[in-house]
Amino acid sequence: MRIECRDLNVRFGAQTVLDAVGIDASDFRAVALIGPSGAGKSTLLRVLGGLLAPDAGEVRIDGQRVDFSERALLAHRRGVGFVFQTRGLFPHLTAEQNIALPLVHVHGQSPEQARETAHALLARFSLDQDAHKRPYELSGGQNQRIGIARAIAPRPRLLLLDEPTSALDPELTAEVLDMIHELQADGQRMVIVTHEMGFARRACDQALFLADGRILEAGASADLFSRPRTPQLQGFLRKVLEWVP
Amino acid sequence: MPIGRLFLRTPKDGRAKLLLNGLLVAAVLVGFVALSVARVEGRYDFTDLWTYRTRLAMGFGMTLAFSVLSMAASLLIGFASATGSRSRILPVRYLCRTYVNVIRGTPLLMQIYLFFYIIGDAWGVEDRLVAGVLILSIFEGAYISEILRGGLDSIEGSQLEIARAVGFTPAQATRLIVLPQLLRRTLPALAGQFASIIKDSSLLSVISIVELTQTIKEVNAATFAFTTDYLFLGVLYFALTFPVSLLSRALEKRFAYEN
Repeated sequence: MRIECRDLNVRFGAQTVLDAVGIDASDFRAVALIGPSGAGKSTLLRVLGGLLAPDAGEVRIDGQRVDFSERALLAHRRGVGFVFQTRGLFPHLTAEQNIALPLVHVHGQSPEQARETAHALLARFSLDQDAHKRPYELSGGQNQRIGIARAIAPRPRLLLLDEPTSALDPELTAEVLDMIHELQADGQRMVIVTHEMGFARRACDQALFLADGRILEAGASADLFSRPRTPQLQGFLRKVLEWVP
Repeated sequence: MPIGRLFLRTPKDGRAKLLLNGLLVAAVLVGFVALSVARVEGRYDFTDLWTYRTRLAMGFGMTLAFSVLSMAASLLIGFASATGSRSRILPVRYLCRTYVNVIRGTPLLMQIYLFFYIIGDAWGVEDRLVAGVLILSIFEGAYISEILRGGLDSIEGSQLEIARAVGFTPAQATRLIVLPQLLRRTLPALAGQFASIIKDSSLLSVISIVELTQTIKEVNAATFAFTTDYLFLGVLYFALTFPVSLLSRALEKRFAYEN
């Protein structure tokens, strides 16, 4: 899989959120998107997921240019799974329905087929006892894992995760990261915005460092973490790793 | 046990105690009404009501029909207005907000006269039944609009983004995500508004629509059994509205989890 971005620009009013972002990531398993808050990480992820059209620039996935017309985006989103930071489920639906409803209405599965897919996924991640519970009855970690299960249910070629653990306590964070790691092992390609530096370094083979709307460093995550070149990344790592043993 | 304890709520009250208190309140209320009737030398006469049973049944049916039709129409008007008052097109937004404020800020009685004798007359709406349903629906629609607008505001914007992310079209997002959540959140309040529609339809009697209240007025003009006629009128309206408010309370409990 290859993701290329050229001269991506996103502005919200007078504020430039993404400034001439260029990416060329290929042959990766997982890309960690790291950087300080407000750097534009979520915005970049939303552009990749087809939830936000850039003001300028282009995105290519496996060489194919993403058409940001609303009509074409419907097709693009079908091939991409998206996991939100928090409250990513539909509150009026059970866990099973959250997974099955898009399968039926977007991916053309029959209701029985979709229910089976949902059950198989929930069972795989030991969530089967939660199949008929609604989000409010579930822990934050369970909510996130069900959100991830929903995102991968249609077998997307790319999974995008937007700080999937930043609203969780450490124990639940571990349970969600374990699930994501298991998906990586299965060959699920992904881009993950995360503040879990241990996970970014060890579980993701590539990394992008974004600051002030610009990509400042990109490459193998081992290199980024052990040999940061820019003062911005050096400073960022010093801060986030300060209390890491 | 001190006698006062009989009237105080405790965590483990027997049925008998609750029944006793209920009966006590009922006795006081019935006693008060009965005493009032006695003081003005009113008389109870149910034979007349029986004589006019067909007309009463027709009036009752008419009120029921007006209410059901107005519920449906006011829901449509309310939904259009709620959506419109959040519109990005300013004239639409202002029109909807003006409608809601003017209708909610003036009495129904004035609206009935104005719509029927001026606007209805000017535009050829001569059928009283059509005019009646229209007037009532326009009035209740303004309240329903506010209920639905509050409901729409309370659905997080992120829900639409999630719906897009899983690949729903805008129409699917509305049908599968927004409407079900809106319904769950607003059903209790809507049920309350439906009870109001039933009661408010009594004012249509002023333009000679022969619904329940007008029927009783006419029957009373012949029987002069004022006490029984109007007590019975109350019983009939209550028989319509009480189930609706029971339903409303049940729904409120059922969907309480949302908040």
